[in-house]
Amino acid sequence: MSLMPEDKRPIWIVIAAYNEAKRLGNTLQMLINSVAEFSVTIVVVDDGSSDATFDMARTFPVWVLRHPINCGQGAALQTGIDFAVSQDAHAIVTFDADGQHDPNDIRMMLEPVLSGKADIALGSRFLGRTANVPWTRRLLLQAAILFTRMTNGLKLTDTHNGFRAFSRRAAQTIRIRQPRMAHASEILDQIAKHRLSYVEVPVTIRYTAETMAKGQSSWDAFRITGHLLAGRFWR
Amino acid sequence: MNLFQWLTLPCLTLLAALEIRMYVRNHQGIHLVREFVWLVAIILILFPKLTSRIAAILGIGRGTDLVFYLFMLFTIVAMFHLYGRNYVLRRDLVELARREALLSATTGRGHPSGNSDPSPPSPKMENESE
Repeated sequence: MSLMPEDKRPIWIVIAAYNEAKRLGNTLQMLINSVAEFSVTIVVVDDGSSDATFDMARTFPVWVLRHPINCGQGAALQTGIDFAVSQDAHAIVTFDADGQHDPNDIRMMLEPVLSGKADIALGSRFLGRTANVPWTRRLLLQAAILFTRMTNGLKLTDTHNGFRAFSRRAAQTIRIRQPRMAHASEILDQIAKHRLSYVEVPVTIRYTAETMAKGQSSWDAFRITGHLLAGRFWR
Repeated sequence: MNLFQWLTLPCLTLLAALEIRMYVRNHQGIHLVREFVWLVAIILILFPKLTSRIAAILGIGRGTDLVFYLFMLFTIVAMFHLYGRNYVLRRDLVELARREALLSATTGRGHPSGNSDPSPPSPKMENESE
């Protein structure tokens, strides 16, 4: 069953935001407009921003949480998920604060989770329309796909996409312990470990010069690998 | 004994004795590791030619090179250990930050709850059962 206006099951959207005061307003406005008719609640987790991200979030009808220090995107997402679960969320969507994701894809992301076909829906930019992907980024993502297939056996087309939908059960089962960018790989490891059912959903990602400048560099792949190894060593 | 030995050996002996005392008190393995380091230092300072002999056996050549290599290895191990400590500390810090964020959840303008300073339901932490 896809998301319908009469569906009153509580859906939560979690947005982790760090120094996103400039873009967050636009993202929230688009999001609120696209989900206005549904039973959707948005929670923004300000990850210790030094700009006006917190104040910006508070100008919208959303829940706002604030980390007193910058902990990383993985940590902020887990905080938002914890909060949503404590408020009896039926399904949870994670959405980027910088406007890269298209709010119109949310219904498609939720469809397999709400219908019970899968515990988790993972957004894939390579199944959907993705604008302006730099070739270095494409190469890096392909390497990540190969790495994921080798380490946990999941056959995916996109392994580092922040657009995901979790059932309540999946949100309670998965525990993100990697505070920074390695959380994306950690989530996939836990999907494999707990044998959660998953499905990939085509989504649109919009790359802009601004988001690319703030996003991960190719060298971060080495840092992420280091964090993953550290996470396995010091449990 | 030369002046350097007179200056360093009492200090190292004292450290070795303190380490044994701490191990007897709390039985932490790290004290045995440190004890080993202090004892090796005492032996090498007391018998300087020993490093040259060991170096010759290992095919390194000079005793100073052996000490330098050992120092490098020790530094790498120490850095690995410190990285791990920092990693675990950071994880604990994240849990504290999360607890603080969950307890101070607030709503923005126009939120249906109209509650800008709420006391949200008690959040479930990692070490609590669902």
